[in-house]
Amino acid sequence: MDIHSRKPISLRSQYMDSDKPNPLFIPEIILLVFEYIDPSLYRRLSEVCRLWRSVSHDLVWSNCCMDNRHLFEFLQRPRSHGKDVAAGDRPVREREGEETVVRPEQDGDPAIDESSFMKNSGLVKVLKFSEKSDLPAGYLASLKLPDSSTVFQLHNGVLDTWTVSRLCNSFSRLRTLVVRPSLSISQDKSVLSQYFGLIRFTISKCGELHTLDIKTSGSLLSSGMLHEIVRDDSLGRMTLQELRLACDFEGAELLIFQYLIEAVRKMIPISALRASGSLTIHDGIKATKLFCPNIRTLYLHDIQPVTATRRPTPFLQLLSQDVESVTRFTSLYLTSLTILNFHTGCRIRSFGIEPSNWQDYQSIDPLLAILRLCPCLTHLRVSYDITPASQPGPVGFSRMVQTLYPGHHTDTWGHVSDDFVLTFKELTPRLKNLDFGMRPHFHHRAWDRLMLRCGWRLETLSVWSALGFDAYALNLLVGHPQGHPHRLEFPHQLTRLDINGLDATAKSAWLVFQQIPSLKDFSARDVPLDASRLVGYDWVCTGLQSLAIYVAVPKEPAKEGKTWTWIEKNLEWEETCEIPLAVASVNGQGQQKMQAVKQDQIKPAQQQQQQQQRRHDYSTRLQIQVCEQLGRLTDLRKLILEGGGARVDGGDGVMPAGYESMKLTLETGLDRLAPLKRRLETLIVYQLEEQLCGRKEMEWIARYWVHHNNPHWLQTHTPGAQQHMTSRSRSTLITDECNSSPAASYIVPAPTFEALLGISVKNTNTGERVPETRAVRKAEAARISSLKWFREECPTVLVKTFEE
Amino acid sequence: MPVVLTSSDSETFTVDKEVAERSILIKNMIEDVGESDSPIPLPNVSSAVLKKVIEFCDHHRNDPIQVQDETDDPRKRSNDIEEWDMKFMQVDQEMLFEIILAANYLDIKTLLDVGCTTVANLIKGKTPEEIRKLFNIVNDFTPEEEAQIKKENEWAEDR
Repeated sequence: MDIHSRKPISLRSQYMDSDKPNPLFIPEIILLVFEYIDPSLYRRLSEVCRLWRSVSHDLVWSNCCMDNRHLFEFLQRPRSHGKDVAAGDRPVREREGEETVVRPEQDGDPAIDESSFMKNSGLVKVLKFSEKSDLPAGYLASLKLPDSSTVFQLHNGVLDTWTVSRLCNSFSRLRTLVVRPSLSISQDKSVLSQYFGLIRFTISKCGELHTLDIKTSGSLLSSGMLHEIVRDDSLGRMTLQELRLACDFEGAELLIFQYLIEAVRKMIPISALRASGSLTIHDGIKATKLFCPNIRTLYLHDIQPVTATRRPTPFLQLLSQDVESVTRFTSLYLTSLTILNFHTGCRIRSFGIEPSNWQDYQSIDPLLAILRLCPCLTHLRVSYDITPASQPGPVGFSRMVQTLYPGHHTDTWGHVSDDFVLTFKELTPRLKNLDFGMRPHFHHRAWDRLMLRCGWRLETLSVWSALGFDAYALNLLVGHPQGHPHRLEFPHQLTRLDINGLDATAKSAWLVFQQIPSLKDFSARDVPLDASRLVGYDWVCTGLQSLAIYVAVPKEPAKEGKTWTWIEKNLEWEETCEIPLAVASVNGQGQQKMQAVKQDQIKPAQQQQQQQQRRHDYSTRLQIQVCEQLGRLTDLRKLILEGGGARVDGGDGVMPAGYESMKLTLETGLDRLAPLKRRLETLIVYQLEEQLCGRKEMEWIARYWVHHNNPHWLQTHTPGAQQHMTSRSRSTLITDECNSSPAASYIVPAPTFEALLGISVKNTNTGERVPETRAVRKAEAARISSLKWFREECPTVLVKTFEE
Repeated sequence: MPVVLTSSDSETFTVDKEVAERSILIKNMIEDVGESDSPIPLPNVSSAVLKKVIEFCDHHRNDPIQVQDETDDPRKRSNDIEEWDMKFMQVDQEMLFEIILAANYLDIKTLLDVGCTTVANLIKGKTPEEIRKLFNIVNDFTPEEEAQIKKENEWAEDR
């Protein structure tokens, strides 16, 4: 009997023994239920019954996963089944018709059921091959098929032409080609050329290729080889829209731009460009010898030109020879450009003396030269690489300078010419997303200018570790205050801001919470935010979905604080002294700071009362209020709370003196985070003084950070498996809230412990030497037992302890 | 303008029109028939279930009507259920199934989604045998077929 064929719906009747039909025998409802289940589980579901199998048939095949080895064996079995495909140019093997033949297994190893595989290959949308560490060379690592998710990944090896042609023909709708050759290949020239022959072949065969992603280690792809791969006309090149290259082209990296220019020039008559004055590329223009003219996204990794008069790269040489002719009439329709590990620099002739001929340098600033070619850019990402294997940017850069120009000091190298920003702004009229992370040499004046001119129109901005970006630049980014007429006209579009590692912005980073309502993702790791600045007003960015902050709680009220006030006549934020805001009553909701500033004359009696408050109370109340602010961000999916790292002399901690970390105990407002359970998927807290190892807190987390997305938890705590639960967890999880009805145990919420990554538990004794009293031992024992309990309850959570 | 609904066991429920119109079936009926005082019979829904359904519709009366987004990848659907919905679905299996059937019959997309999500969450992490046991499904494969399916799934399993 053909168990693969779809059963008629009439089958349903046999399941309906009672007068009440079971909805799980109605195909439409089964399909709807399946939509909420991870595709990897479909195969398991198909084992339930015939009806489920027939209903899930298409779904099962749309997401096909198998062991690498099996596919390879399958592909290497040409003669038995391969007559119709071995020729290499026949279309996909016929699928319909004959009955599925169940082939006998060989050697008991579950070999691929070839006929059913081929029969259903038209349904396959994602085909994944699990990677094994003991893969012999030549094994295919990953192949995902048709539609947008199509990935064909050659991993660690060489396939013979026959195999590749068979694959290409079977999966001619390949959209993405990922190439990750291993080092061993790059060492053997003949293997290498064969390898790239196959890549070329694949590109030429796959007429719907959308993305080409090549990443190699070492100097595998020489520029010549690259040119060869992408040069001649073939199907894939016309449709290619995304090119990702992470290769060392031995200094000729930017030749890629030259190829692109050539392609565009051949495609569009220069006269047409002259006439229209703007760039348009019409899809479908057929031309030969084109290099990917439709490319929209370019991702380059490991690009290392150093601009200097002495040794310019070929590309820069080209540009500097004839800047006008190259750039005036040729533009690339790139919308997204990523250049990682891009070391740019202009040599300043004599340190300390303003060079007279900036213009000369500016003309060959490699970044500007590239931008000149790409007027349509909306996404720009240029940064040093932070992969651990490579040198951190500045070090790598200075090394390179040292190698190229022995005796030179990096100080005599500038990264930004004086009118960089002006030119930059002119060249990128459509830019909305900017990532200039890891550009430590970008001067703060340049940042100020950039923010003043371009800040208002940005949608995302990443400036992590760009040390020149300071509080003033951030103020310029924030721009006019909320409610200002200018803001009404030009509303902020910023949805993502990343100022990780820039503690110079700490002074004004809180303005972000007050002034940028559009923000969805804010990351300010290692930027100590004064907790007293985070409260007293309602955060406007209530749509935040991801937040990473470092909260520094002042131990006592500041006698005098500085704040930022918008000065209308100067059109900028100015730092002004203020009497610190009273910490509003714990229950009080904050007010708009703008109003609060005006009404900040605190009554003497209240002030006096505050002074009398104990320091502990002050800090506790602040923490509760910060938690309340956080608790209002009910869209949050990810929350990272940092703390710790007290700054001591010579230490590299972030926490300023007089401040402390949030404790995150129930006494200090942990319970105010309860509303976050609506969305929160990931909570990472580390180096706080958190007392999450406390039993109370853990039980609170177990009860409130609940989620039904946690498969591990569901597996062990589903209603049918109640007996697996310990009595304690039951009492914890099904207390007051859930036990209202007898059927309360039907659905038990699961905690997101899986996502609770770094629960770090500090040994409270490590600070100073505490004599081992009985009380200390008792506390320690309680702590250890709490931890033990937590570990037992939540085996999936990584609990780190910092024991000395 | 209230709408009167009659369940299969002849119990009548008077609800606001906007609540009743969360059901596309009822909405279309009202549009077709025009406004009238005569009760709308719902012969496939018992009073117990109808009560639950009305409770759901009443709670969601102000929600925007979901627009089917064809481009949306169903695989990216979240399994999140609103807290209220989750509590609402804390019922025994028979009721859960009846709610799903009623939602299907009455064409109430949000309720059907919540019901199916609940079932999906029950299915997760279970073996086929456990699923059969949970939902009272008969294993109608022959042993040979079962072995064959297992084998096929073995090489195609996501690991």
